[in-house]
Amino acid sequence: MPQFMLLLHSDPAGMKQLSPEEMQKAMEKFMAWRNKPFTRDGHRLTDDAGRVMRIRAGETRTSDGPYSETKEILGGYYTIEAADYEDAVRLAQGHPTLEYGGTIEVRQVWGL
Amino acid sequence: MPQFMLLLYDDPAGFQRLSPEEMQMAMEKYMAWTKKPFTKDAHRLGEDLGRVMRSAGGQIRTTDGPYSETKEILGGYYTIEAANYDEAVKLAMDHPTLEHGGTIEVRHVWGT
Repeated sequence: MPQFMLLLHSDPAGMKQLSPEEMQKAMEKFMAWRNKPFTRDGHRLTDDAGRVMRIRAGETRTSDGPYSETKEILGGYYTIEAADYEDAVRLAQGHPTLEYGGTIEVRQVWGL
Repeated sequence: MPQFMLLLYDDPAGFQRLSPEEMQMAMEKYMAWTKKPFTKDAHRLGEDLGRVMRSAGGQIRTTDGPYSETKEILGGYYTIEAANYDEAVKLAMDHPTLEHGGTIEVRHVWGT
């Protein structure tokens, strides 16, 4: 069965506007998604912007992230099994990040 | 031990310029990296641009990728174990994607 990654891009500031109760509910929805029958893997990433590495003029340069200029950062991912992109998109429709203004990038895993 | 994701961004067109022998060598270097003692997980992603899902006005809109405007797309990832960002960056220094003009975004996995 082909596998697809759901890459969750969102603005960390958005979640900070939630009340503690709303945050608790949001966390539960995200956790529940890890237990879906088609979910193979899932991880949240920390809210810091990380590090970015690239070679310029033969030298490896490391700088603080974020990688892109947008406010959205990669907040986490899920790996799911689906027949094709259509199926993957259908399964991802109910993902809670969409309710919170996040974007899901759906990408097929090579060779599966 | 904390875990870090190495997110590999590159321009797929770059690889298409390699000769078959160069491509073979590049593949071997990438594969070797999946067997490093600190590597926990790794996957290459398909070179198609995927789908992008976002919610607008209460409706979920799905479009063809890419997610961002840049030529670089997320080509794959590794999950590695490292004590902290400094060590993660040090371990990632010899990753072959850097030689091929790619960029590595290093991100800490939440709760590890």
